[in-house]
Amino acid sequence: MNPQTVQSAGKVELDKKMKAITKRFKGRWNAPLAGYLFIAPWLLGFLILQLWPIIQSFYLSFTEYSLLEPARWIGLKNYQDISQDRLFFNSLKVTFLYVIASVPLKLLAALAVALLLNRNIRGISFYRTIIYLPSLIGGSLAVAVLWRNIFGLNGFINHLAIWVGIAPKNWIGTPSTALATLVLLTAWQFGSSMIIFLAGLKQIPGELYEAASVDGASPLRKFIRITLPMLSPVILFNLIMGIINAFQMFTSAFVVTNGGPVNSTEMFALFLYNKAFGSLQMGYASALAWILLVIIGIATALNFVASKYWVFYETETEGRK
Amino acid sequence: MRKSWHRLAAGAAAVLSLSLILSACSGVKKEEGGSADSGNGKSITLRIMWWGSQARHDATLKALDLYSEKHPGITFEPEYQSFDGYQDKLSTQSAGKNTPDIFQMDAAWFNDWASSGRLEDLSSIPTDKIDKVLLETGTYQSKLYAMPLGNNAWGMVYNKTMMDSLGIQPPKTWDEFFAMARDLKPRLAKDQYLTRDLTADGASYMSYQLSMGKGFSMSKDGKFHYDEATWKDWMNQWAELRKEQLVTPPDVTVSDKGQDAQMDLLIQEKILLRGAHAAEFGGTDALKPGVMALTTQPRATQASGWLKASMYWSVSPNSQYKEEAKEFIDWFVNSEEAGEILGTSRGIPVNKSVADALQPKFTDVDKSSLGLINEVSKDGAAFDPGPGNKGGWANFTKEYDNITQSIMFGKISIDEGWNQIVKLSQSLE
Repeated sequence: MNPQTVQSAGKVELDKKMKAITKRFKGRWNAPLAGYLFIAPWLLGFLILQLWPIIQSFYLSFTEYSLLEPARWIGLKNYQDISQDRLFFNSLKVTFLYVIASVPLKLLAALAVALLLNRNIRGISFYRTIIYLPSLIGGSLAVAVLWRNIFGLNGFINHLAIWVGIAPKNWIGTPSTALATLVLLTAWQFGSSMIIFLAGLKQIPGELYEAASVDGASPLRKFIRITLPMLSPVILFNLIMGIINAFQMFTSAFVVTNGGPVNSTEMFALFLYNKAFGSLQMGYASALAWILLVIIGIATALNFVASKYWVFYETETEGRK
Repeated sequence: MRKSWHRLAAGAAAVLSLSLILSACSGVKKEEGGSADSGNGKSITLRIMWWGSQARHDATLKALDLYSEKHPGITFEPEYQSFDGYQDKLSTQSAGKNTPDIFQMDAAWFNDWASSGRLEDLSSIPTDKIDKVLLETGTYQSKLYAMPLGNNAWGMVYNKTMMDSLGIQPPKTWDEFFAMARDLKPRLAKDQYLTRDLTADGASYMSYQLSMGKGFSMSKDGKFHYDEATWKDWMNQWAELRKEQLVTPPDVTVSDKGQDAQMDLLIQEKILLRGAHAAEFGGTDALKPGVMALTTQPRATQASGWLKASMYWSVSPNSQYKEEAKEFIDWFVNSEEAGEILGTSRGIPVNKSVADALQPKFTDVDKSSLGLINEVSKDGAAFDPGPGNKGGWANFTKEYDNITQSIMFGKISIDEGWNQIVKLSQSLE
């Protein structure tokens, strides 16, 4: 080896070291900075409009705060009061009933319609659009007002009821039927879950069905043995999103029934709103919000744990092979 | 990097100085324009918010237009809605220090707002022609924080056309009232009744208790004044009527929404009468013109209506234009031209000379309102703004509705309901 090559080798070594150092600094500071700048619009929005209020509400949950006067620290009193509040337990009961009834119904409706729309007939995209349309406007106030009129005293349902021989009544004004009308309204807004199901159905390889047909499997068997397992990750996703949304349901309970009659539709979020803006108990309402967060967190965690027993991921089988 | 900084700074400085020059120019121009005109040429926008019916919205907007015309440079940004949710909105705005410059205030919340420093002192506005008793209701610690806008009274509105064709008069006493609910039913359609079920109607119960000489059930002293015997008697009367299907069934009762064209049972001719304020009559009449009339609440040993100020204007202490806002309020209550446009949209005007000047121009609707107020002022109860929201009363009112509704839907007995109310009253401070 001649000395020149040794020298140049040393230089290359040094260059490499320098580059590594600058790269490390650049890597640590410059590249992320650009990244942070790119997400800054979202990040600022999140920090100012979401994280900060979340921290504030945590603090407020230990205070008595009426909006009109400054917040006063009262420790755990809000949480103690909540644990003895009859209306709190009522709203929990109503909300759980609503979640248990509305989420499966909505998923069933979404899956059924997705199956119907998952075929190649002429004008299918037109049908898809038409059926998805209500869901675009479904969460809006206008639809809630419409619902109030449909199920109201002079509403469309009562005109039907007379034909079928059921005595007309104010469906949203009767404690035993009010919640059911809200569940129906939710189930009717199946559109976005349906779109996700539809995308999931398209992902299932056609060969599986062909192979099953060759073996003489009935359509029902194909559905149970192929469609459901292959679709299960999508079902899990829709289930979790559905449950999270259902726990926070507010608009239709507020507009259609406003929690009545006799609190039969006073959902958790509505109860929270009434405490905050009706009774001006912001501290109490903040404590309620944190309780709701914990409940949703537990429900979601349970779902993930349970999912191990029924959700099927394609990658799993590949791994086993 | 450095260079671009310099360039940026230079650019910013250039823009800044340019804009300064431009604004200086425009400032000079404005002043010149101002001196050519009479008075000050500044242009300001006052935010103003109120609740009410369409009739009140129309009248108020017209008055605002006239004021802007007479005072060039002052424009308004009005926000108006129905009563539902108004207090929620106002409280939220207040927490964000974003209340409108001028906003409508209610007697029930006045004390909460005045005592927490959320209202501007209006004592400088001339009030020599305004009823002292009314002014008193907008005064806190001898300062005027809310300017009363109208005289109002609690009475009843009834379907005069139908009652005339049935050959009957509205009931004068509670005994007549309950008897009529029974006797009239056979002559009405299947889904028509004299009255809706008033079991869960707190205001009507208050009338009943007053008429029995037991005073207001809720009053400004914040204490619990429900009288057990009177309350149970009232609830039993309604329970019987409900059982015999002589009043609206519960699901129909809860669907009633006053002043809503589709959901007001009186407007839908499902019932013949209900409790009402004199100042609301314009809105009710507009929904069914010429059919309704006003009368007093039924009486027993005493009259059971009461007088009140219909509502107030208040000014936000955070307003940039407090003086302009006060000037506007002065014009609103003390000038005849404003009175002429506003009519009785907020009750009978509080300024005596304005009210007198208006008298010949009163419409039939105005005369009905005035008639009820005069009738109630003979022997009705005096003003009582009620306990407000503090000391657990906001919660009490809501829970009271729940308990009485539970009785109405047959979920709990009357005695059980009373026990719950007593228990609830122990949480009041």
